[in-house]
Amino acid sequence: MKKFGPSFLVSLLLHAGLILLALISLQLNPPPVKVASVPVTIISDMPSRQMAEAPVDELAVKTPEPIPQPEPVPPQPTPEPPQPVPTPVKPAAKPAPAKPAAAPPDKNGMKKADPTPVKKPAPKKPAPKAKPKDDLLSRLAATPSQAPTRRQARASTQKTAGISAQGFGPADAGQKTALDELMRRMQDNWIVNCDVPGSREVNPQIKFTLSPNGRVMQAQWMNRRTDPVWVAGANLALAAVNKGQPYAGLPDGLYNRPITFTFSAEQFCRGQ
Amino acid sequence: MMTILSYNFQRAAVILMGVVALFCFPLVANAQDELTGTISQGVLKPLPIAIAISGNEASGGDLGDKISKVIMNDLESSGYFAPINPAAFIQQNPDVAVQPEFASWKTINAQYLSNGRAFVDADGRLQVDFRLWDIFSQNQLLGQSLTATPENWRRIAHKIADAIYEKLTGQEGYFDTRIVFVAESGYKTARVKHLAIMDQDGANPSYLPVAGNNTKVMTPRFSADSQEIAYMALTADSARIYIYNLETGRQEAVGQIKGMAFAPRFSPDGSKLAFSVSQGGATQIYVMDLRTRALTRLTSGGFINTSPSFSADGSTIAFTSDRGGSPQIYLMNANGGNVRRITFGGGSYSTPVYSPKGDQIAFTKQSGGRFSIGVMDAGGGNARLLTSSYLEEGPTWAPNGRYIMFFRESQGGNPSLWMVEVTGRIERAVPYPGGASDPAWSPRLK
Repeated sequence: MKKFGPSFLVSLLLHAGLILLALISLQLNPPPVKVASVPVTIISDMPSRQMAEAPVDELAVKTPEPIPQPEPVPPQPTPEPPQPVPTPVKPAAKPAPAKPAAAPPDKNGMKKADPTPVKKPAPKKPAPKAKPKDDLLSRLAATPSQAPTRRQARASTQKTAGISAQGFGPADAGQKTALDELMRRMQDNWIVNCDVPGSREVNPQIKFTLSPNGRVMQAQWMNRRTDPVWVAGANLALAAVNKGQPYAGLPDGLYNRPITFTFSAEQFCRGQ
Repeated sequence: MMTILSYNFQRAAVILMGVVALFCFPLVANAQDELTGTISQGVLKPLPIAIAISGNEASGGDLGDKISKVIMNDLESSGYFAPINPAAFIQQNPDVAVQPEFASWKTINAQYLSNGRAFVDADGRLQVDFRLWDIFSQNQLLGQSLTATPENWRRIAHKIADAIYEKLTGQEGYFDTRIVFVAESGYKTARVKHLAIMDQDGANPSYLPVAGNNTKVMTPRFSADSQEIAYMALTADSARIYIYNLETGRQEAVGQIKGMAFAPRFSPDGSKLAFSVSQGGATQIYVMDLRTRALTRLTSGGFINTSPSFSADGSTIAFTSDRGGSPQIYLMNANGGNVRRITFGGGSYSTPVYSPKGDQIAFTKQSGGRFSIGVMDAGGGNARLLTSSYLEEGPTWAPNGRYIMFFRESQGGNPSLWMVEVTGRIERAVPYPGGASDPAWSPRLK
């Protein structure tokens, strides 16, 4: 009888080992999915409720008026101008109604992250740029070269498609160009979602003024509606207005002046 | 005396005119001063949003991170949001009780921030407080506190994602939903089919212990309240429809029906069940009143009529029929009257499913050796294909009517679940570790 050599034994051991490994791996294969009843536990009501630390209630969020203002810019270090003493029979001597952003109260009613000392609210500083009405008119008529504190409006090299401005006379061509530039900056930040049903009818009108340092003030949604698609669209338009600030380098005539832009998703989405 | 009166009258008139001028002038001036414009160009891109929920589990796990990841995954999968990688955050773990550092979030171009905290309270319940901020307006858009048992943390995450989605799109959210489907395993010639259920994002998959497992189960469909599932179980000599209650685990066969019953679908109010019965070479559509078990036949003739689907108001049923020579989609009144064909294009059309709002019908089209998923107006017309491949069918709507899930199978491969947005722009695979077909999307969970 033929004897089995060492090579045969080694081969036998290797084969046996391989078979053993295969069996182990089969054993280790996890079951595909646990066969069990699905625990359909309906969690308890999860109501929206106020948080103790942040006294912002839902109602305040749902009716976002006033539209929050940006962080206040520190007042200019120029000395306080003497207060004009208005006489009751001369209303024209009153300061212009357009005031730069006074330090807004914490609109969300929350404490600030920055532990700066609390300012006393009483001694409100007057608007640093507040001027009588006749001065406002003269500023509107001023050319950019008469406003040395700001850069002149850049000549636009971009296409003017997608924007249309109103409110200028024949002599205001420079300001119209500047307004076009302002609108261009905002349209670059305006994210639109044309796919949401109803979004193509959303045309929020956002009214705001620009402070002399280019900050957006008193941005408000004028044609307010409660439709959630409109609310979402208006939030995106407000974000577009706020995102590009500070709007520097514009002619004086655009500052401290009410501006209303209509964000026409209808026109934009028509081509999408 | 007259002089004094006249003087006083003149004085009053002057004062009155002054007052009028005082009130009118600013209005006129403002009207003249106001600049207006129309912006009609914008940017089409997902909204950049940062999600920062903090909080640790008692076991040491990072619960906040886990919740944040689920929210980010939900929002990103919708195609409307671009969550920002938390590694880019400058302000780490922003406290939900104080305003975020807006400048830090502006720096990383976050347009929105949702921050919050997760913790287990003294009663052992998980609580998650969160807020949604508009970074550039520095305004809080949303603030909520949610509670649940700790094992339901994923549902809390889905509900937060729903709230954010709703606030920023104006559309109803769909993340806190489930998918019931047929899990397939084994060789193609001897597939084992289990009824299975999972979250819409593919998490928590498990088999349902229902009759018909280890045989063939098909076409599961949710009831309007998400608590019941109707499905067909096929054995060697019969095909029956069962209703399984997810809450109680109770299941029952639907009546004693001669022939093979399949393709069940609940009516919107849950009081009726429509299905097909194949008998003697023809297939007819029946409706059963689930309270009285009364059965009504809606179609007749020697044709194959199948895949009934109720409209949102329950007044109309869409179905597939070959009465015109090839499978096409027809509508009929809920009582079987007023049958009209609504598809006329080349190829065959099947599996019509009304959208939750009832304004659209999803369908499967077979043409030129390929299958496509499409949508059309509820009355027919304006049909458009959203996706196409070697084999795909079984469309089912998300509860907000913005997405359609279906299953796709490559040649020789396993079926898998996919979802597509109704514009066709967004398409993604639904994760499941195995073969999956015949999906049905639940309504939003309560």
